[in-house]
Amino acid sequence: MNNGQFAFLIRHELKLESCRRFARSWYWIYIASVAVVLFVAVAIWGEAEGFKSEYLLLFSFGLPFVFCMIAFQKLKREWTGNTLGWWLALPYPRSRLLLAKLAASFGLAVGISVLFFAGVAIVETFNLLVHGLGFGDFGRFVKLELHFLLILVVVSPLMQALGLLIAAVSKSSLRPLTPLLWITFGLFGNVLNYLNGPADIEYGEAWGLFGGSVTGWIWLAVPAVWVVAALLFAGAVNVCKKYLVL
Amino acid sequence: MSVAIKGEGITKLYAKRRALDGFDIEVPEYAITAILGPNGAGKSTFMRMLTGMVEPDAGTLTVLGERPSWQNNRRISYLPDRARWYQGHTVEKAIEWGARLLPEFRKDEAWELAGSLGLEADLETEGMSKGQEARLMLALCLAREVPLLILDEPFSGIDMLSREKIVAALIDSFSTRRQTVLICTHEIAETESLFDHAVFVNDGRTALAGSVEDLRAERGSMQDIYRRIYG
Repeated sequence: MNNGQFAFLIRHELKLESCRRFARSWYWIYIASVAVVLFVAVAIWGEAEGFKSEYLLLFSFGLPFVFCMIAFQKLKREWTGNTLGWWLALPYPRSRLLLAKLAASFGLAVGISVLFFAGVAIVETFNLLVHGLGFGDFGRFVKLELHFLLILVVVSPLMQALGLLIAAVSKSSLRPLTPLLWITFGLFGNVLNYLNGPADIEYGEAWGLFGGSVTGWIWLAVPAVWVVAALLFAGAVNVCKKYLVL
Repeated sequence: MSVAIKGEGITKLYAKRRALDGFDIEVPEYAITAILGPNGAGKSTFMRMLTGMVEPDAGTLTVLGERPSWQNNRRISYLPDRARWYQGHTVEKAIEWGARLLPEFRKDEAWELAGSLGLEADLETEGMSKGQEARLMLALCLAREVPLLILDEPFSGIDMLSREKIVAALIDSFSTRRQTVLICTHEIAETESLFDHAVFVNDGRTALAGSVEDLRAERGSMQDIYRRIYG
């Protein structure tokens, strides 16, 4: 498989889901409704003592779960859409076929994260403008968002490789392992909760990692997370090679 | 007679069920071979083995002189059983998909086939009838200039007019190419005239195999033979 074919396969994976989803008008109606509610709430309560825009970032705690499900759906779709035969009979190694799904899922995950944090930044800007609070702390807020974004980008391959593995295992002779993998999904998906434990979000501290309360060696966790992601991905490839029940 | 596909003692188990049970087969090169049998006989399992999607638990299988693998799929055009096309595609996108991902795919030929099968470029998969979708998938398969064409149930659940169009497209294609063709179908009456060779499969084993001409001379039409074996 040359680079052009691989890039085409990634685009194919990206377009299938995202284009169809965003083409649905009700999808935009939901998004617009949430945005309206959010802006109205900020306009009414934005100045209140207990309101902190940083709390909006807590919604991102659910994103690792979303990322896993994106990859899971990308593989599961081959069965539900009855396109499995076309996909598996392509004259390319299973590792490449799955890597294209992983890459497309990662692209979507980054896109969703950037959109989410850009949206929250817009809400914060609106809040500051409407209530005349000044932009003195806006830089700190954006930095906090970047901390969240960085962690999400780091954990995304792990969650998405897990999503591919769950989808493959659930259609294989190893199916009895599926509940264990869903438990892993629950444990891994809470990564932001674990990391946020020692942090004080109200004061702009996303994690001990960035606030200095955790020593520098924790950065070693980044390659460790990616090694685990690679192992999970290798597992998904192996299941697709040897254990699928067709 | 050169052999394009050779299988000996192929066995495949799903849990405790034997999909193939010591299956032997020889598919002659450059002939059109029918794989016939009732549902559950093991036909589709065998077809999937040819492209490496399923591995045999026992026995040996060679396809165009090699063991089935993703590498060998470069030389095989395969229409999967019960397949659908990607939702969200148009005919144009489907042909582009074939041109970009399938080796030896002839884009001009795909457009010609799509036209002759009544498929407009902007026709969307979501709006297609099952017959139109089947015609699109067949056009994608026939547009590849590869030595082996495998069609697993190309007429399944399709209306009579679509079936006729597909058979006509197959006749056109076969008359202009030197290609080994393997077709698995239940529509024996409409397709019998296409076949040079037939393999009847029963309970994962070969029940009968041979040249269609010889079988007809000895035992009557394919339909009669089918009734006698499975009736």
